[in-house]
Order: sequence, then structure tokens, then C-alpha cells
Amino acid sequence: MSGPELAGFLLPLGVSALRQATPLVLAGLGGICSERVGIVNIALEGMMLAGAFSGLVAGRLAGPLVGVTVAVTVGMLVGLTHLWATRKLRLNHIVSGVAINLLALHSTTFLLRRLFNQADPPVEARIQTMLPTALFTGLALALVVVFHLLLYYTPLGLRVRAVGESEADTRMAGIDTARVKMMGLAASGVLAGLAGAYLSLAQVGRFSDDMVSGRGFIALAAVVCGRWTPLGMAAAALAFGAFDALQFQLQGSVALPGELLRSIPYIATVVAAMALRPRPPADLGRQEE
Amino acid sequence: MQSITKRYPGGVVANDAVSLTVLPGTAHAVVGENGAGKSTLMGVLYGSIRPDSGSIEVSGSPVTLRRPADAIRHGIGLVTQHTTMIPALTALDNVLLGFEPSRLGVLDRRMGRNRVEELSAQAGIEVDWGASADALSVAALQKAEIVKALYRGARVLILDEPTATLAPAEADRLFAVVHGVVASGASVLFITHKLREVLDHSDHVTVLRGGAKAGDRVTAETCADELVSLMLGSDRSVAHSVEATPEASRRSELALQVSSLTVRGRGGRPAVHSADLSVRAGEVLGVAGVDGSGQRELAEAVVGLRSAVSGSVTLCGEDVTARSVASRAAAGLAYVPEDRHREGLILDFDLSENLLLGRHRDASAGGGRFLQRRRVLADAARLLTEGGVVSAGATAPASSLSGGNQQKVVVARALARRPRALVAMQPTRGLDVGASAAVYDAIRARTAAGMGVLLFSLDLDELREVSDRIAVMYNGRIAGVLDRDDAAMDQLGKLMTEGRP
Amino acid sequence: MILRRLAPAVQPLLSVAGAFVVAGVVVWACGGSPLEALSALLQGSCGSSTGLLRTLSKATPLLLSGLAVAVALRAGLFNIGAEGQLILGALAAAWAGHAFTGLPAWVHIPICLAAGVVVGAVWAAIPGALRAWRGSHEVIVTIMLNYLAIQLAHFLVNGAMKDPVSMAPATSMVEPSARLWAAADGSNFSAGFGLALLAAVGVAVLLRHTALGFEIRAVGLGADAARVAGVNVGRTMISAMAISGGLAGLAGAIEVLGVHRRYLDAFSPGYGFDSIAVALLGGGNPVGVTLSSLLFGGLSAGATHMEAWTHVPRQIAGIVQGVVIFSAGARYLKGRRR
Repeated sequence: MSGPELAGFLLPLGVSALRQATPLVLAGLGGICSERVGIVNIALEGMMLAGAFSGLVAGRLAGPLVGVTVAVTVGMLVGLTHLWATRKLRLNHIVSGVAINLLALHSTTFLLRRLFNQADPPVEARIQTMLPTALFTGLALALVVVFHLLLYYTPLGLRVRAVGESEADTRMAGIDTARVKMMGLAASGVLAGLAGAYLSLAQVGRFSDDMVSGRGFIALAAVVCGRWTPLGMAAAALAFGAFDALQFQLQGSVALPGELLRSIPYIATVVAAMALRPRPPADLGRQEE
Repeated sequence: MQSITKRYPGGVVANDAVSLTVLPGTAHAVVGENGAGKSTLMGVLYGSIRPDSGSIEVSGSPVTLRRPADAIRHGIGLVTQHTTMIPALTALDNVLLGFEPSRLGVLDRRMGRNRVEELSAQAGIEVDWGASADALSVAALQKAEIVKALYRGARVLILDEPTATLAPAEADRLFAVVHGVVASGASVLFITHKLREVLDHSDHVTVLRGGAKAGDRVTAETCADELVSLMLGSDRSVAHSVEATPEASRRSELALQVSSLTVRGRGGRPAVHSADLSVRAGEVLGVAGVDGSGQRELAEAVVGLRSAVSGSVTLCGEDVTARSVASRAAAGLAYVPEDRHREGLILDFDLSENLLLGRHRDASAGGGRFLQRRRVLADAARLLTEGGVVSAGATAPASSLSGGNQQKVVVARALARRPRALVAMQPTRGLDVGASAAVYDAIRARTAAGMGVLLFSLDLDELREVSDRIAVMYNGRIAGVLDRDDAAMDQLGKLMTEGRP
Repeated sequence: MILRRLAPAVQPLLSVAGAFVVAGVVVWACGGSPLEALSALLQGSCGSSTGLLRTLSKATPLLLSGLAVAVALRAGLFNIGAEGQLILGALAAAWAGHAFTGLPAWVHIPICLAAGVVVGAVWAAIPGALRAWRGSHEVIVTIMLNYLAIQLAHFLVNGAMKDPVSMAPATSMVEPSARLWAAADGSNFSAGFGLALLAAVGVAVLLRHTALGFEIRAVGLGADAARVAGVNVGRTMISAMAISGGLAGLAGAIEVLGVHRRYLDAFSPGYGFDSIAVALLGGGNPVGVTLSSLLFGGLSAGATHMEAWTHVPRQIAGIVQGVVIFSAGARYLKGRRR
């Protein structure tokens, strides 16, 4: 390949990689916010789905910016529901996450049919005016830096890390840990909702059944591979996005099966879980006595 | 600062109408036996336990302490028995946590560090503030905890059993810090059961017994004998029944032998260095030592829960070093673990299942590839009767039993296979006198039949009472082994704290 | 006495009732008639013999994968990967179903079922082993292995294993000798339901009457105490996961041999995920899991009927499931301590 050819290959690849990575980075930050305060979050998928759907519905009614606002609010409510289920109902974090994912999946497909009253299949709702993806991408990258600084260089970040390591000891230090957890889960929902809004309002401009299709879990994988740090997570998410983009670019042109490229995030995560011995926050998943 | 008054006419069983007053600029000791309610009292003072009734006054005005934050705000600082420092954070971050100095919303670690170093210099404390908490020693953590309390502006510092896990030299340094704090005008309230510390380091002393206050004294006007009688109550005789293993049952053959055993502990650090011990059949070999001297690692390596770096474990002449826990147990090695709730029992299992655990591949106990339920129940009923366990039957859940009865179940299971050697970690910790006696009676019945016992305990009186010989661990090594009759208190103490006689 | 025996069933029944109320409110809020919807649902699931058989047929994979999740749960492990194990088990059974020819049915069917069980077991043993040996969290690993299984199956049925004469991404049909007996009324009911019931009995015996089952329960309720008592905790976890995966693989194999007669890409509507609801509602015990699989099977069979008659989207069944997990999960498995 000559120089210009290479650039012609790489430039769209880079752009596409960023587009694919944006929702992963946003949701991944949401995963960090939740898991750093000790709440296991496999509900990212459901939060994104709820955000994508509600954002689209509101966006059709009142414009995309209102759509984003609604998506973020709904995401936050789902995040707080997860907290309420694990703390007040004392549900196992995984159980609550599974329930939220199921509820989000089935209620969005249910409502999609009810509200748009379309034939089945194909069922999807479209929106005319879309937001530029670059807006979200820029925001996502900026937020990575913001959260890195927040986590390591501010009083709140110190408290968040402390709660995730040991809620009991943090309470003994005189901190209102319930409030810290609430902030963490609210932020988690906001970010995942934003990631969902990106998908429906900026990237594709429509909502279809199960449109998040596992991105919430890949975001969680990026969190694990990035060892629960914003910078590490972002690096993993960008890598996953790049593989995704590569798979689109190579489609049909190379003998490499797309399934293999699509599998890379999953393989990477299993290998990371096996080889890196990632050290999760010590209190992650603990139920208060 | 004026006088501080705290009163608890309480309905709590742990604390029954306990009142005490701590004067500013003094060190006030609270003494009592295990279970006298000392820790509960401290929890109430720190807002982590809520009293049923009673009131607390700081500097003359009543305060309500609902959570630790309230106590901190009123100038009360607590240094618990086990550290509350979060291992993953640096010592400095741990101290600043909750009271972070910041500039424009950014955590100002330099400002915090200056303040912390200033405070620690005043109190004569040196800690590596930049190190993460899990890299610090127990003694360093405790000092960091004191600085943490001072940093929060504590005028009353509560120390809960501060020397329980310290070597004597470290304990002396700690009390030097305490005197410094008192000299600065603050008060220190420390809980202990060591009379020496009370007499040497306090101005006032409050004695608790069975959750109630047994008396208040000015330290200078009291003596050890008076405190002991307050602690134990006048009606109880101080003398323990001393019963040695009859010489006749002690045999010459070895039940358990540990040869130059080296074991790694948490974080890969060596915890036991080249330990040599031998337990004869029918003998109780006690192991004394300051908490954390490698006892746990040694016990776990002997029973097979932890692998040895080098050295060997021999059971009745058979080398079992490479064998699994189950295979050692089958060969006649039993274990009574330290934490009966977590390691001893499965609380959601019923008693028959708990008694079966570990013997569930054993046909004589009703185990095997397929379990024989009827046989399991019959076996359990027999063990419960023999062990004197008070329960609602073999199908009652283990969680329904009292602590003493739970421990009897653990011991009954350990002894059910008629083991040739037993490793027991603090088998009577937290038990009342009756339950402790029952536990030792059960063990003695088997020693009389030739079982060798390796008994780990932190309680020297108990060890001197039940052991034939006492080994002392110091810093992961066996510092010495004394015959029971030669094991004077001060000699044991010296071995425990300095590693030489 | 009778009351005490029934007591454990009260809360699950309440949570199911609660879920139906929630679903009714949702239907009503969307302008439908909850009563009409309910009656159509009942009509579709147990109003006719075909409806009943359809309920049993839908319950079959739910029962097996529900048992799979339950066995892991009893060992204190979350097998979120039943879906992937089910998919690969189905693929293995489909392969064995057409790769071997000329075998009598009584040899061929067991071979196919065994292929499904073994592949499912191996796929599930991976997260079990990673948990036991490396301490990796099985939830993360099983989630990832689900997606890997989906990609792998997708790759194979579009390539190496694709039926050369068909356009669809599917394997060739299995030999007649590998097909389970099935009802001819379009209900998809097959002999697989009987196998699933047998599996439930097997799991009950395993948990209650065998040393391995005892070890699984001991590890689930008190891993530290089990370890101290000499139980090999890691090996028990791997065994539990392998049994769990084997059951999920069996579910996939039965779907292939009894319903589809070949492996069809994306044939599972998420049985492996629904099974989590089944296992939690069933309290992790085989009798409860059987009952809850019948409930969810009926829900799924009736929902299609309901959608056709009342235009209430069948996804309402999924909402019921979600609510059931919330309310039934509350009493079971409170948090995990590591």
C-alpha cells in the first residue's frame, strides 16, 4: 500500500473507531462510577437501552436536545433503582442487574410496538434531526480526563475510592457513605443514559429492538480490562472500538472472519481476567450486614 | 475545656446503666474481663452503636451521637482494636479522608501533609505517610490512627485494647504517645484487660463486670488486688482448678512432629521460619505468643490449608507434608479453627450436616458417594448427646445455637473420627466458664486415650492451666519450649516479647 | 404441618401475583384491557390440549437451563453463561445428528445428547476453573463467553458447518435416527420434556443425596468452613459449573433434536437469560425450578396467542419476568461475600 492509500484506509478507520468507541467510553465511565462505590453494575446494558429509547421518544416530540436530557434523566432513575434494589431490597447486585436488563429490554420492545404501532417485524422508530456524533465523542474524551482528575485529585474522588474499598471503614471515618453511593449510581445512570442517547440520537437516528446489542457488556469489559481506572478503561474501549471499525472496513475484503474481530473484546476480557489478575475495589458486591 | 460527662443508664445487656466521667488532661482506663461490655461502651461513645437509653455530655452540654460523624464533630476520636485504615489508600489519604483540605475543589495533599506531620511531631509519632496502608506494620497503623483522630480535632481519644497486638516494646512507645497527648490537654480513654497498663499509665480507672460498672478508682489510690476483685466479683474464687494430664497417659511416641517448617503469610511475606515442634501422644503442647506472631500460618500449614515453603509435618511417624487437608484428616489429624462462624460451621446448614462436613465421604458417618440420611441423623444425635450440646435436635440450624454450643459442635466434629492429633486455635475464645470447661473436658477425654494436642492461645493463664509444655512463638520463630512447671509468667512474657529467655 | 411445608411457596406466589398486577397496570396504561389480555393468555397456554403441549414444550429448555443456573447458584456461583452453553450444546448435537449415519435411534440419540452435554460442560468449566484457580469473577467471564459462543456459532453455521443446499444460516437436518419423538400438532412438544423432568429428578438426588451435592451446597453456603473441613473448594466449583453447563447444553441439544431438527443461527430467544428468572423464582431447588419453568413456559406460550387476539405485544411476558426477579430475588441470595 502506498502512502496516500494507507492514509485513505487509516483515516476513515480512525474516525469510525472513535464513533464505535464513544458509547463504550461513556458507559464505561458509568461502570466505573458504580463499581468504584462498590455496586456491581451489569445493568449498564439496560440503562443504555432505557436511555436510547426514552431519548428517541422525547427527541421526536421536542427535539434532540430535550431527547438527550430525558435520556440522561431516565438513565439516572434506572441507576438509582439499581441502588435501591441492592441496598433497600438487599438484592444481590447481579440479580438486580439481570432484572434491570430484562425489564429494560422487554419494556422498550413492548412500548416500541405500543407507541409506534408498527408491523412486527421490522419495528423501528426514526428521528429526523440527528445530533453530530463528534459532539458526543469530544464530550466522552473530555469526561475521561475529568473523571481521572476527579477520582485521584479531589476530596470527592478520595471518598469514592474509600467507599469502594471498605464502606464500613469509610463510615467510621465520619463519611455519609449512603450519599456517596447515591452520587455514584446517579452518575452511572446519567453516563449510561448518555451513551444510549448517542446511539439512538446521533449514531443511527432510530430505535430498534435490543439496539444496544451487548455494548453495555463490552463497556463493562473495558472497565475490567482497564482495571477500574478511567484512563485504562478508555484505552480498552478505544481498542475495542478500533477492532469493531476494522471489522466493518475489512468486511468481505480479507479472509479474516468478521466474527473473530468482533470476538476480540470478549477474548481480551477473559484473558485479562485470567492473566492480569485485575484487582477490583475490595468492597465490590458486598452486601451490608 | 470543661469536664466531660457520659452516662448510660442502659437497657442493653452489654451495658447496664454504666456511667463514667473523663476529666480533661487525664488518661482514664476502663478494665474488665472479656465480655464485660467494654467494646460496646466504646461503640456507644463513638456513635457506631446506639444506646437504648442514657445520655452523653461533652464539655458539660448534652450531645446525641447517631453516627461516627457526630462523635468526630464533638471531638471524640476512636482507635479500634483492628485498624480501620483502608489498605489500598496511602496512610496520608486515610488520615485526610472525610476532612480533606482543598483549594478550588482540588485535594491539597501538601497542606494536609504539613498538618499531619506537625501533629505527629507533637505526639512523637513517625509514620511513612506516603506508603499505602497495607504496607504498614500493625504498630505503625495504630499510630497513624491516633494521628487521624488528632487531625480531626479529637479532645477525647478512645483506644480500644491498644496493646493487644503489640510487642511490649511497641506498647511502651505507644504509651509514651498517650502521655504526650494527655500533656497537651486532651483526654485519653483506653480499654484494656491488662492491669499493668492500668496501674502504670492511667490517672483514673473504671472497672466493668458483666456489662455493669463495678467501681471507679483513682489509680494512685488503688492496687492490683483491689482491681482484680472488682473485675471478678467477690463471690467468685480466683483460683482455677488446675488439672494436669496424668503422667501415665503421656507416652513416648510422637503424635505430631513439625520439622524446620517455613511458611509464607499474607502478601508472600515469610510468616513462619523453620519451626520445630513435637507433640507426644497424650500430651497438650500449648503455643503462646503475641497475636500475629505466625500462629495462624503455622496451624494452617500443619493441617494442610497452607502450603509449606520447606520443612515437613509428620503425623505418627508418617510424612504428610504433601497431602491435602482431607487426606491429613483421614490419617487422624483434626483441626478446631479460630473463627467458628466463618471457618468452623456453616450457619445455614443444620447440625447433622455440620457434623457430617469433612466426614461426608466416610461410610461410618453415613457418608459416601451417596449419603445415608438415616445414618447421618443417628450419628449426629449420638455426637450431640456425647458432646453435651443443648439444641433442638440434629435438624436444627447451626445458627440457632448459642456460641458455646456451637463450639461444642465444632469440637465434637473434630473429635468424631478419634484423631491421633488435634490442632486447636483459641478453642475457648469468647466462651463462658462452663462452655470452656466442657470444651476442655472433651479434649482431655481424647488426650487420655493418646491424642496429642497442639493448642494455640493468646491467654497465658489458660495455656498454663491445660498444657503439659508451652512453646512460645516470636516473630514467626519458636523462641523456646518450657515445661509447664517451669513456665513462670515473666519468663513466658520475655520470650513472647523479646524472643529470648 | 401442611402449612409449614407450604410456607416456602408463599413468597414466590406473592411475587408472581405482584408481577401480574404490574403487567396488568402496564397493559391498562397503554390502553389495553388487562382482563381480556389475561384471558387470552390463559386460553393460549392452557385452554386447549395444543396450548398445554405448547406450554410444556416452551417449559422444556427453561426447565433445563433453569436447573443449570440453580446448580451453580447452590455452589455460590452465578452462571450467567447458560445461553452460550446452550448454543454450543445445540450446535454439537446438530453436528452429531448429521455426521453419524446408519445408527439405530437408541444409539444415535444418546450420542447427540451426550455431545451437547459435554460441550456445554466444557464451556462452563472454563469460567469455573478461572474462578477456582485465578479468582476471576465468573459473572464477567460467563458474559464474555456468551458472546464468544454466539460469534463462534455464527461463524460455523455460515461457513464450515453450513448446510450446502440451504440459503439459511443453519446446519443440515439431523438424521431421522437422531430425532426425538414430537407431537404432530404444531405444539413442538417432544419427548424432550420427559428428559427434562428426569434431569430435575437427577439434580434433586445430586443435591440432596450425594457427597458431591453436599460439597456443592457446603461451598455455596460457607466456602471457608468447607475448605477448613477438607473440601476441595476449587474442584467443587469446577464440578458445579460443569454440571450446570452440561444441563444447559442438554437444553440446547433437546431443542435441536426435538424441535428444530437442525441448528438454526440465533434460534434461542434468550432461554439462557430467562433461566435466571426461572432459577431465582424456584429458589434454586429442583421442584421449585420445575414449577417456575412451567409458569414461564405457559407465559411464553400464552403471550403469542394473546398478541394475536388482543394486540397486546407479547413482550409483556418479559416484563412479568423482570418484576419476578426483583421480588423473588429479594429473599434469595442476599449479596455475596468473598
